Amino acid sequence: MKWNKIMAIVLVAAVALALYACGNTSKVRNDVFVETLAKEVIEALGKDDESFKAMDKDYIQGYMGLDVNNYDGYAVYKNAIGANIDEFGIFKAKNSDQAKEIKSAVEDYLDMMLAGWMDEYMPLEKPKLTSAKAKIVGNYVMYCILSEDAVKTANETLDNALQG
Amino acid sequence: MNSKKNLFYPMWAMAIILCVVLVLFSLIFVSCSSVQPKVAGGDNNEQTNKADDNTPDQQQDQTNSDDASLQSPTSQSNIQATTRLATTEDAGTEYISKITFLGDSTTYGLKYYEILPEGKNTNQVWTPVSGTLSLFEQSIATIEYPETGEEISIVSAVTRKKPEILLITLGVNGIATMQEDYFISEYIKLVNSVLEASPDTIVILNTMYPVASDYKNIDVISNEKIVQGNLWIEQVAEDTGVKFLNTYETIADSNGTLPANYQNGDGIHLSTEGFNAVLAYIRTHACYTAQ
Repeated sequence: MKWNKIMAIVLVAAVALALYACGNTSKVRNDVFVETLAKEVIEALGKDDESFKAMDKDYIQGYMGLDVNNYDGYAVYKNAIGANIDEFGIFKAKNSDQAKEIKSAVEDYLDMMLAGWMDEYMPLEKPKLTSAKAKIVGNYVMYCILSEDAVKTANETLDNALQG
Repeated sequence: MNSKKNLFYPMWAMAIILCVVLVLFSLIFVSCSSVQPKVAGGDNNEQTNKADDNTPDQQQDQTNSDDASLQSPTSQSNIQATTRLATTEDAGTEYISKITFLGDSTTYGLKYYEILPEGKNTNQVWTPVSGTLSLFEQSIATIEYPETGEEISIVSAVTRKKPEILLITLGVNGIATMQEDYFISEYIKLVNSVLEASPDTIVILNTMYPVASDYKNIDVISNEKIVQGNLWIEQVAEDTGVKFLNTYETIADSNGTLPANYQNGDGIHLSTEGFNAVLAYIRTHACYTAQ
């Protein structure tokens, strides 16, 4: 009787472990270049290199305040055509701790942008900034200052590209 | 048998030396002829080849830029020697007609309020389609090229038009968030890219205008920051060898703020009267006297 109880507990534990393991099978790739990801996002948004321009390191360090020298990769793109504030960035951290630091720094940048926002210009664009968020996928951090639909598209593109 | 071996020894030695020389020659040739790929940002630990990233427009610009450098220097021999433009005789409307105005919304008003002779059809005002331009985006920003309506980069526009005088009014959209080093370095990059595209263009850096005391964002864009930024702009003019125009002194009131009659009501943009005061100042602080 005693052995039956022990066996039952062991079996339940085994099943629980198996279920837990099954629930965590999805892995995130860690070998995709940020530039490749950025190009996929631009393509998914129906844009090209003419409309979205890559920001240089001076901007990312000098304006955004991100020390990209320590990152595994970075890509920030801003709209250069027409009257909109479209922008997104993807960063690759060396590890999960750094990914959290990058996310926090990006959130500071978004706050700074919002604090400096001038309603005189393009007031209809402001919701893109107020709703902008940074998210972590594996060791990657992405933020988008885009329309609601475009953010969804960008997020799906990133998730699909990083699916293991 | 041994003597036969000895016979082949010098031949093998020569063949090996020849191969080594050939390999060395190939390596030297390859290293000399290979083009360094242009890597712009991106992956620190991931090699990205962006050598072909230049757009046709940019490639055209580079070609034109090379052509421009062959042109003779400006014929204006009576250009003011000092960086800060001093008071001159009224250079008249003819002087104003030689100027292309590049800038943000504080420049866009020249077109919007039809301050210049051709009103809204003027070709002298360069701003983005949005009407606003931030210094921190100068490297990627496009302006609406008045002659064609195309949105092209600032460098492309300068390369095409080669303005006689380019008056730049920029910085108020970045002064709240840009630190001194970054502000100055971006401004220097802009000026140098203009001079590279059109060496004969006389570049004048205008001050930012003050904001009104009741401007709603004065906590973010304060007159203290604007005064500080204007010093940085003058520093850029000195460092790059271009001219500096202190229109701030004619626009600001005794408290260093934008007076009611010079603003359009929002506290930051000039009114028609304000723009006319700026134009009068430009005419009486000409970079050269009319010949």
